[in-house]
Amino acid sequence: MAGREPGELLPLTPAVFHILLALADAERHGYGIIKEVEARTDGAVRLGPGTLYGSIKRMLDEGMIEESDERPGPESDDERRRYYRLTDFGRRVATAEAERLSRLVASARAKRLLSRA
Amino acid sequence: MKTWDGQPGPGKSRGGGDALSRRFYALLLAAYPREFRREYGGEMLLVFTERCRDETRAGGRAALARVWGETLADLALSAARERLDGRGDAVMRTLRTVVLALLAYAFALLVAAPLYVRYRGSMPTFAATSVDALISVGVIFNFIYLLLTLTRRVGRARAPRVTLVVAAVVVASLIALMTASLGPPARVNLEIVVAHALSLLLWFTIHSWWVLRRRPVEPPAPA
Repeated sequence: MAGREPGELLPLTPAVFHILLALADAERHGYGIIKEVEARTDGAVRLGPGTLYGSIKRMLDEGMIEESDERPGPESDDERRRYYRLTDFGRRVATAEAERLSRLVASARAKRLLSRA
Repeated sequence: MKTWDGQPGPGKSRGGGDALSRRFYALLLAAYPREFRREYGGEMLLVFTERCRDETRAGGRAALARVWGETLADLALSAARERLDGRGDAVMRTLRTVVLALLAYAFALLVAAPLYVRYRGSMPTFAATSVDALISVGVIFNFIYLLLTLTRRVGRARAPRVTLVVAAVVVASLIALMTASLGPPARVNLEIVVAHALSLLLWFTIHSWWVLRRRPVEPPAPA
């Protein structure tokens, strides 16, 4: 994805942004991503397997995430699992999307649709 | 940093309901394109099995029913998206072609046809025959073209040529049948043949130009 600007991929779908957030601090497998998103949103967002892997496929194609070669110890591993991690480009995309959303929230505050934090 | 659940794998704790769910979901995965299934089907099944296991442990059958409800909704949307993925542009182009064709037919029926019926009698013979040919050949040619492109029997580049051949055979057969139906002496009207041949060429030219206009520009070859 050399030469691509993160802004070209914005706005992200909610599923893609949640996956980027889930991978921002750790490598995770598919179910790990689902659990992290669910925990972080207090159960409001529950990604289904089709949405998750459809998004993962597109994110791999776009170079936002990559598969990780590292695996846990055999006692907690399942060889059928694949682990994913954020690429540098994916991190920049996540940052750009977060800034975009932040500007939107600021606009909503300016219009008094939200109380000031 | 890598995170783990610290829970047993899906094969280590699976009740009868989970096993049945797993089997059924494995069948439903057929809704996805083959390539997608081959790449991610195993992991999707694993994720679904783990979810069933955890939800059943926490909430019993009611929770399992909720998982199924969410999973079926997810499957319907995501399978459709994967089937359309990469073909969205093609679908939109086809839709646009169909809409344009329908609009053209509606225009012909509502505006051109009444005018034609009213003024045809006052036209010179060859002009009237030519307009007849243009309309009848147009209906046949465009119908065949639409059929070939929608069913993807031939590629876009070849479609006008193939349509020309098929339409020429159909038109020639119709002229021969109509001439024969007039009874002996069966004599082909040269004006009708010329008018229909010209109409075929005109429709072929229009479609060839349309295809050439939409052909993507090839990138220059590397030096």
